Amino acid sequence: MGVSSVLCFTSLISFCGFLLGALPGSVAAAEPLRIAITSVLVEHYLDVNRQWVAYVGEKLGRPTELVQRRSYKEISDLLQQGQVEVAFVCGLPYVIDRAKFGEELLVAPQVYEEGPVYYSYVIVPSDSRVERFEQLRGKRYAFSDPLSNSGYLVPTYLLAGMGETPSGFFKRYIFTYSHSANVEAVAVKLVEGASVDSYVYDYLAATNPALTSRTKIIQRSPPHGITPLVIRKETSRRLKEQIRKVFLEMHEDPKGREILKTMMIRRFVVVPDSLFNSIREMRRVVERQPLPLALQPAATRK
Amino acid sequence: MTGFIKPLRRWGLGQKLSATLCILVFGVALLISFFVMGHEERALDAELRHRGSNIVRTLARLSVEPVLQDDPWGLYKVARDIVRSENVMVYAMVLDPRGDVFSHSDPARFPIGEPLPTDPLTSAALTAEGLLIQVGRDPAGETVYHVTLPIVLDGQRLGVARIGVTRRYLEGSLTRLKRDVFVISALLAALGMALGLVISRRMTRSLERLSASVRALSQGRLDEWILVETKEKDEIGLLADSFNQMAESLRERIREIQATKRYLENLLENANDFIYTLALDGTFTYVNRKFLELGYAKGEFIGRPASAFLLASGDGRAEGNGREAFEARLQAKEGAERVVVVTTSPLRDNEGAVVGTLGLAKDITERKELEQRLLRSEKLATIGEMAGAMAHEIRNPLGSIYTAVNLLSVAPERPIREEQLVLLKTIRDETMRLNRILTDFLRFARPRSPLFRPHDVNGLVEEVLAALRHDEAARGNAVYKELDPRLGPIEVDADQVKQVLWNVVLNSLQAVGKDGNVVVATAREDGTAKIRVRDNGRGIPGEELSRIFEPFQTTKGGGMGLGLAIVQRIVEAHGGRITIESEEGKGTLVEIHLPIRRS
Repeated sequence: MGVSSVLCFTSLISFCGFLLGALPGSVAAAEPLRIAITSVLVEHYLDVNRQWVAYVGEKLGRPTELVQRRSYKEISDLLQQGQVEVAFVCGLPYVIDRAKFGEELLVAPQVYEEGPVYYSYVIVPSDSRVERFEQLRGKRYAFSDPLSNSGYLVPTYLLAGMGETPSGFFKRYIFTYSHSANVEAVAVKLVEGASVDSYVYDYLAATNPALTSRTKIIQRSPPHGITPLVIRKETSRRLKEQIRKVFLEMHEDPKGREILKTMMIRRFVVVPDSLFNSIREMRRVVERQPLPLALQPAATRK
Repeated sequence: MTGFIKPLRRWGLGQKLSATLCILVFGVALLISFFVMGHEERALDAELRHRGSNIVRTLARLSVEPVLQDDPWGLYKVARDIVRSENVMVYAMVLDPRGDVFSHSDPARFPIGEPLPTDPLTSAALTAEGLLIQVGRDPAGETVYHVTLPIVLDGQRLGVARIGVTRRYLEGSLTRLKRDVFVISALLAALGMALGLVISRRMTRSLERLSASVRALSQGRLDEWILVETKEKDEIGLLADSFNQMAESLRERIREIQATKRYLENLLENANDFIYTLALDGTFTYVNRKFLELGYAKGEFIGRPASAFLLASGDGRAEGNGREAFEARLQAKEGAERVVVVTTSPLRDNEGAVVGTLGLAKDITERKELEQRLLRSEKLATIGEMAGAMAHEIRNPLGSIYTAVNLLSVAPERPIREEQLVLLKTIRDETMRLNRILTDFLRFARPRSPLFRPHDVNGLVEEVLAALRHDEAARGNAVYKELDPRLGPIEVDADQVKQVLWNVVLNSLQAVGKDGNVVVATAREDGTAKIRVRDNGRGIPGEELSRIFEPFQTTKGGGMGLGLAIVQRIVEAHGGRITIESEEGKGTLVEIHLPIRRS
């Protein structure tokens, strides 16, 4: 789920038959493989995304196309409608969409030593006196995407544990649809706290320390399944295997290794669906509460 | 004020001109700069309002979507970028319809969701239909234009876009402009000053030279004044020309005056008369160079009474103010006093008042002496004539007496007694003495002109000395000769020279007495034949020595005292001179110089 918010694969709808038919080199061979992500990180990450999408196409021997959308909702829609085959999506949209239209896990990046997991950080301005999440009551807060696990589900789960909802707890909360924007919004004090993907934050800390130094982490969630690369259920098994193989062998390929290094990803691994059970559990808890939810992205104002 | 102006009056023309130019240029530059800056300020004001309006329109347009999507973050980025990209921007914000901050370029100070501190502009903007501009000041005192515009979509009011634009960076450029203008003004002023100095320098250089020349002229430094040269034909040039002409003629006059003065001074100074002026109190105020002959310095006269030097004989007064002439004696520091005839006249000033006396003393000492000598000569001549006639008349009976006595003693008619013979001899001797005296007297009274023939002076000396050996007066005394054989013959009257030698040597022999000696020496010296007669006799007392050549001066009996007077007359008739030096008790030296060549 972590990388999902960064690289944000959405689902990939693979029309298996179509793809299988296309593979032998028919007319359909010209049809590019479309891979969707949300634009969540800093500008130059666009280049990185283009690089690995191109790398995949290169390894598959067919053209690839990068499809970028602002929100997970949009990407879920693209997957469901079959307009993209592969997507980086957050663990939350994955569990929702899997239940909804049955997309499948392809691979997931391993960023931390512990495995294909990541965390949700609660950050505040570096000079803030807030030390615990609970102290953010009555303050301005930023979520990333209403369908983001680390940027929305984890904090709302925390609030649920306190018997609170965002609108009840915060004075004002906003959605920035970007983890990096959350870091920036805290840095410039547009908000007094924010939830961010640990992968994004750590990546920024490595590449733009001037920005992250104006913030501090006050809380770190338990590990959750990192943003996976999903593929449409309908995509042919052969293509699925081909694509999976490309990712799984990426760290063994010099060029692939170079790209991984830039992305600060150790390697891609196969992950079981059960990796996202913690998300399913949190969602279950939260959904008992009246949620403003993902489907109403225009956030309320207090 | 006068205290400020007073020192300015001492400024030179150049300084005044420079200062005026400097002030003028500076003033004009400042005036222009104020005008330009005022204009600039108005232009900047209009520009700022224009830009503010444009920016706020852009902000309002870009705000619609974030407001609709409740995306303060998105709007923050818009506001932030606008503020960053426009150098005039102070802030950009969007207010919701209630007046709360929806998003602000400075979220830390203006948190979202918080009401903006109420101000008239915000209140007005929330209900305004269009653009509002309010001019205010930020805490630093800079002018800020607050511009608002409602965000309206399909007639629905979504909020208010508001920005602040400042003149700060423009103030910076205005300040730079002011500074530049000031610097340029200062430079121009300095230039003006320098120009003023240059111009005035050109102008005043001639004036200064003129002034220096006038100073030189006025101080009488005639050779120092400089011809004022100027090529300019302006007023100063004309003035310089006029001055040059004036100075030239003035110098001419002054030189004439000086020449006249020198001439007159020369006249006075070199006059052969004593010329002096006296003050009213009778003290000298001026004496001419002639007075130096008296042995005093000029300074010894000035300020001292004339009576200390000028002794009027008779009733004449040195300081007499009449025009009368009188005789007086001028005291000398060294030498004999001078006899002068003094003429005085009053000295008057320009108003005619008598301020002193002008005196002119004519030296008549020599004339006086000459007169006396003439008087004596005339007396002598008269006596001589008379005595000569008498002597001649006496000589004839003396001859008869002498002859008669000789006849009586040589061939008497009857024998005469021894006593009678002694008497006869006495008669004869006295007769001869009388004859000698008469001869001398006649020689003196009726001198004859010398008859010059070449003769050996040494020979003449020998002759005289030989003759003297038979004279009883010379008997027993040694006469030594030191005759110079180089002397040779000279033109003399032999009889008269022998007469001279006879008289002189005889005098010496008579002076030495027993055991004395007389030396007669001849020598050739400086074109003259010198005859020296020296004795170691009793010498001549001083008072007698001074009158030794006067006739009828005698210290011994048996003569008329005409011997040396005759000697002097003969020597002078030969064009020679005779001197006598004597010291009482030690002897006498007589030196006779006769010219060897007769002119």
